[in-house]
Amino acid sequence: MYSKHTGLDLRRGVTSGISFAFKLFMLVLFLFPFYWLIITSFKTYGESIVFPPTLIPRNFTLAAFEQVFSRLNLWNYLKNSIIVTLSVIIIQTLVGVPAAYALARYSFRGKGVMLALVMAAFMVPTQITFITVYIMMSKLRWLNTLLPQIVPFGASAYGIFLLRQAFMQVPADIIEAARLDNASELKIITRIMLPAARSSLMTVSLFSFVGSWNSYFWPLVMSNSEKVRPLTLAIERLKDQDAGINWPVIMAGNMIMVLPVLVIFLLLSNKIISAVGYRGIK
Amino acid sequence: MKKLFVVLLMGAVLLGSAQGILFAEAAAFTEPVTITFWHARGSSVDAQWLEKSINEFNATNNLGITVEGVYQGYFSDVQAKTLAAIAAGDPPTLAEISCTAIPLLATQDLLVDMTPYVNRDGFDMNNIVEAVSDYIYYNGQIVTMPYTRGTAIMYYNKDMYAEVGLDRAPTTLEELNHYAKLIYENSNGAVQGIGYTIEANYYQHYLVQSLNGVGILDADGTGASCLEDGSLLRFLTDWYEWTEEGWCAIPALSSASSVVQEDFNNKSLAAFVSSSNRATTILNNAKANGIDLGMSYTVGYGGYSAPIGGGSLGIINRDNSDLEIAAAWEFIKFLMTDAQVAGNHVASGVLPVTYSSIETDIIQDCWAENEGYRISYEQLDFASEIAFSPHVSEWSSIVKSAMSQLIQGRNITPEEVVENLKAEAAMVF
Repeated sequence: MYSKHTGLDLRRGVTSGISFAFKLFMLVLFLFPFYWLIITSFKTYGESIVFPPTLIPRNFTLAAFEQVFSRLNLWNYLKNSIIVTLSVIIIQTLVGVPAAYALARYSFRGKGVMLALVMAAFMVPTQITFITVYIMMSKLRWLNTLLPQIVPFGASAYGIFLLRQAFMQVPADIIEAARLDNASELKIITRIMLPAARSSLMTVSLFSFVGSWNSYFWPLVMSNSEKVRPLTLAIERLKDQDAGINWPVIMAGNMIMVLPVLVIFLLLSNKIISAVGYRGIK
Repeated sequence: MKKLFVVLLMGAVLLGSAQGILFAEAAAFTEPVTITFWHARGSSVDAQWLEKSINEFNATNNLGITVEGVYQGYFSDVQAKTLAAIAAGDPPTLAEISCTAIPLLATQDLLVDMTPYVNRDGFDMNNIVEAVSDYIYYNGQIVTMPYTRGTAIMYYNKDMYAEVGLDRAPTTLEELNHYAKLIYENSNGAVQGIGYTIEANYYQHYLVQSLNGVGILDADGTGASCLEDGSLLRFLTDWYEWTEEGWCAIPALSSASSVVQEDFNNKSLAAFVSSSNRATTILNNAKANGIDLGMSYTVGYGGYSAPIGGGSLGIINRDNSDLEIAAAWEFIKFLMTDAQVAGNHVASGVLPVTYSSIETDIIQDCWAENEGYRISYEQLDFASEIAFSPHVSEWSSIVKSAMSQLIQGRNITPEEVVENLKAEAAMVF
């Protein structure tokens, strides 16, 4: 016998089913490229170009990885990527946190202009600045060093803006209380602001990490020596479209490239979600 | 006063030139020197061979010269980066420059004249294969040395062509098209007979050249008579119809060269035209996919026709010391030795650029084993280079875009393409 209760359950069931199907669809949509990346890296060249494509490698092989390691001095490129990425994150934090704190918590002459400058920097694409920066780096004789890949990114307008927004959420009473207890500004930043804005800081660092790690155009322009080139440029060397792109080799290179990003994202995923869905201090 | 100034200026110029010559004469490497070499050799076989060459030179030269090779992407990237670096005052000493870029650099005096070094060392310029010598000289100066020069080759699936009755390579475009069409029809459209990518100054140049004798640019480099004599219109009309009928593949919008090779290895394409510089990789991939690969002369209207392209070595004439320039010349000389030229040819497929290298066992053994490599060299008898002109880079780019609009975009007629190109030509030349 049909009851009102059963109808509600049915509606809930259908809604939940649709929701599940949608989530599953989205999951597949986002995960499939990674799956494709992984399985292609274990295929032979012949299998990688057959149509229709195979979803599971018929002849599982590590040959593509062997080629990547034999063709590239991978450790040198990896070392450069790590140095550049870590340096950028550290410098951005050292510069961005005090800047964001000042913009969020101090009143001073020219604050509006400075904030406007930060916002303006936010909107200027690197393609507009690279020629002048390149000439500057050339005149400084920095092109054969890692500095052109680090120094111009020492401050992130996006990071300063995001941290400023997070610092503004901290109630003024807490800061006043700390000052009454003779806490220095450094202590206020490290003991109150940063823990409160931990998620935003993580997000800024993660975006910096991804940005630096995946950077291709800037290091291509700013480096004139293989010794200072990052992993992205090394992976690009694996591609030769004129001679036919060897997809397994490209995918194996990309696997090596993307693995650290994936690991860090998985480790920090809770913090990122928390930062994006900011709830403020209760 | 004015006369005195002119005399002093002339004296300074002469002294400067003489110093260059004197350095070429002396070539005293009193201190170790490192030079950078920007190149476009990034693919597996290319990169391995170049690395081997550089390592060997660095280890064996007793002059204290170290060469640092830097891969800068494709030829267009090397050209763009070199020009940017020259502007910034920090150029490489040596660069691998595409044929289309050489006139641009040479006419701006950005390439060192190697004549004093050639004369000093008795380097035999007559040993350089004549067909690849067009882009060496500018205004009586030796501005480049041929290095990764190539020609187009027709790569075809022997079995597929044999199945439709052609058990040898086609000798004319008409014959190629006839059998390409048959392959398409017999497979009910599953296999296309031939595919070209769009390289206006290379693959399309030779097809137009077989109609008008000069290709897309006149011999003097100052005009494009193909726009007026009907040759370009005829070729574009034909090409459009071939692709419309389906047996000639439409080039992919991105990575077209790679897609053509994937289709060939997948056996959905029976033949394609690509550079001889890729021969080794193409041969290896075909073998891995069980294809009996034929390498043959490229054909134009009425018979054989082929382009010559690729890259050459140029020493950058800006912000490089005499010592660095002399070091670059030593490296060039090393790369022009028979063993290097022959090894380069066998490793990757680039043309052997000296007559004496052809006599080596390295090349003779290679040719005995695979006639495709020999064909690439012998084809030079039918091949022609696009004219040496400062307009070649810009004009090629314009024609390529127009061809892309017709063949890939398919939103314009061949007549409209030619009319548009006439308007462009009026601005370029």
